Amino acid sequence: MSKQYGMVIDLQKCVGCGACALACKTENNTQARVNGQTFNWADFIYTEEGKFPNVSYSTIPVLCNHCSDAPCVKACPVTPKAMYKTADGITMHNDERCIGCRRCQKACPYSATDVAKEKAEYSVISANIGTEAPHAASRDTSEMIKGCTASGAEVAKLAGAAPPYQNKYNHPDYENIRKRGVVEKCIFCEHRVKQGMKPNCAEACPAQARIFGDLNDSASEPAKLLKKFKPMRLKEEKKTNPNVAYIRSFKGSNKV
Amino acid sequence: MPDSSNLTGSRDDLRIDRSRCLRMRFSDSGCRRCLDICPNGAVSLDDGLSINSKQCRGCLLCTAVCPAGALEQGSDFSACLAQLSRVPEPVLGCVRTNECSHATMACLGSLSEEHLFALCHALDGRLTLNLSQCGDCPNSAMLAILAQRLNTLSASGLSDEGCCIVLAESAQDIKCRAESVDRRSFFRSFGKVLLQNAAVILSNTREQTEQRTDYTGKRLPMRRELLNRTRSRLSLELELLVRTHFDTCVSFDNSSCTGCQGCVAICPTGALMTGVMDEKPVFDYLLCTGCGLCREFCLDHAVRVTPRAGL
Repeated sequence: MSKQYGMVIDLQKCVGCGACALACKTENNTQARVNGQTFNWADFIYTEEGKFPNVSYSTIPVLCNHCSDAPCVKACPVTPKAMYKTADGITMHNDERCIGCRRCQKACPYSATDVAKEKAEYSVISANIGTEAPHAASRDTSEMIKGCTASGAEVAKLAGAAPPYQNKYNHPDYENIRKRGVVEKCIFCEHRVKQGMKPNCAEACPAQARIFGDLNDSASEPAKLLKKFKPMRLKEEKKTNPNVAYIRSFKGSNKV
Repeated sequence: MPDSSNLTGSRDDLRIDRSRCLRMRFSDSGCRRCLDICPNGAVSLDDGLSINSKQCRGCLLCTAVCPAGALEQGSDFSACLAQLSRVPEPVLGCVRTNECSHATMACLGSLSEEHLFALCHALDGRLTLNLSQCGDCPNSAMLAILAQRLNTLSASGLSDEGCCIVLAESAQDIKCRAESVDRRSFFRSFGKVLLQNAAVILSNTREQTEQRTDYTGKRLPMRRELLNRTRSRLSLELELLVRTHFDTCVSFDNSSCTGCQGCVAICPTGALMTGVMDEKPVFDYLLCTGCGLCREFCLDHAVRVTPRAGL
């Protein structure tokens, strides 16, 4: 059977510290929130419920679900598709072929074309819209200290290094510095996975609440956990077959 | 004289930029202009655009119909135009007839209406298209199409003011005189060449030979660029005729357009631009080739593509 990479998130281990989101930001050079786009490949749903004194506060980390029946892939109009499934089940995005029509964003049940307008808590797919080129910091050529130093981008270029705020990965499909007019989303750190490493969010999680692996391999850790605990997946009614599952929720029927 | 019986325009003159193809940009597009015109069945659109190089004979007919510049001729037409303008009664030929022509193209099948229009208004007097070798050429299918294109032009009155274009199918009709070198004509042609070359340089500084544009990039097809260059020096009357014949108007249905800007992204030439986010796009007719991809692509059926009215 072919591989199907996926992730199991143990909600009783997750304390919502945000290390995964920070790790993702540094690994994938994602921008700050702008134009109704979050650029948070790793994000959270926070829920406050109840009335004092019976209140609860819960955190669910969210990321691209790398669905087996991915609507974003179906919606992509380009040939060959700019949003596509890799052989090991990752939903990948190609920056060169993407025309930025945002059909994927519309099709994805976990995405919003404008989080502010749609009052969405998160959006898996973000689009580099707007008139300015994204990643201004990496392109900035103004002096860091006026009259004293060159810009970070220039120094890095001369030194043949990446600026301190930029992680350079070399992948044929996507670039560390995105251009204007393309969408972007979590790619399960495919460049790391290919080298036998875990996605950076899973690596960074201090509680090891994120467990990454091949769901089709019954000996893998996430597959074992899925067998042991009853998993919950986001918006299962949309029948997209998400490959990110949540176990051991503190509340409701999933409580263990 | 080299044996030219098997010589045809070559496949090397066909420049393919798949990212421009309407089918590649939008898999549900119904565009089949190249497939329909290809006399040799060399075009396949089943899995995106591909040209079978064994079947392609380089007639370049497809380059004259592709609305997006996915298929274009590689050779520089402006240089050809400059060469022709040096001679009072120029002859334009192809690879088979280059001995008795002042300038050549790989195959005259690549002469689109825009090309013919440009020739008509860049030259004066009489231009002969040397078709003397076309009869036994494997690409002879282009003869009828070329005549048709010329007819369409003259029927719309677009060739009235310019030079007279003659299709010469027999060798007797072709009088190919070497460039005359008397003083007067030398300076006249010298001035013309300077002007033409300046135009070529100006138009080429923006982009060099770009073989592969990325999908988000916008590029105006060479044919449209040529048309825009030609029309910039025309009389108002003729400009009005150009509008009705070549221009398209893209408009949006106010009630159904959601302002998603999807058409802006799918447009291969950059005729649609985002003015204000979440509002209908801004349209520039000079950059539009009327391919209709925006209309095909719009989920809300909010795009209308109509011919541009004369006034």
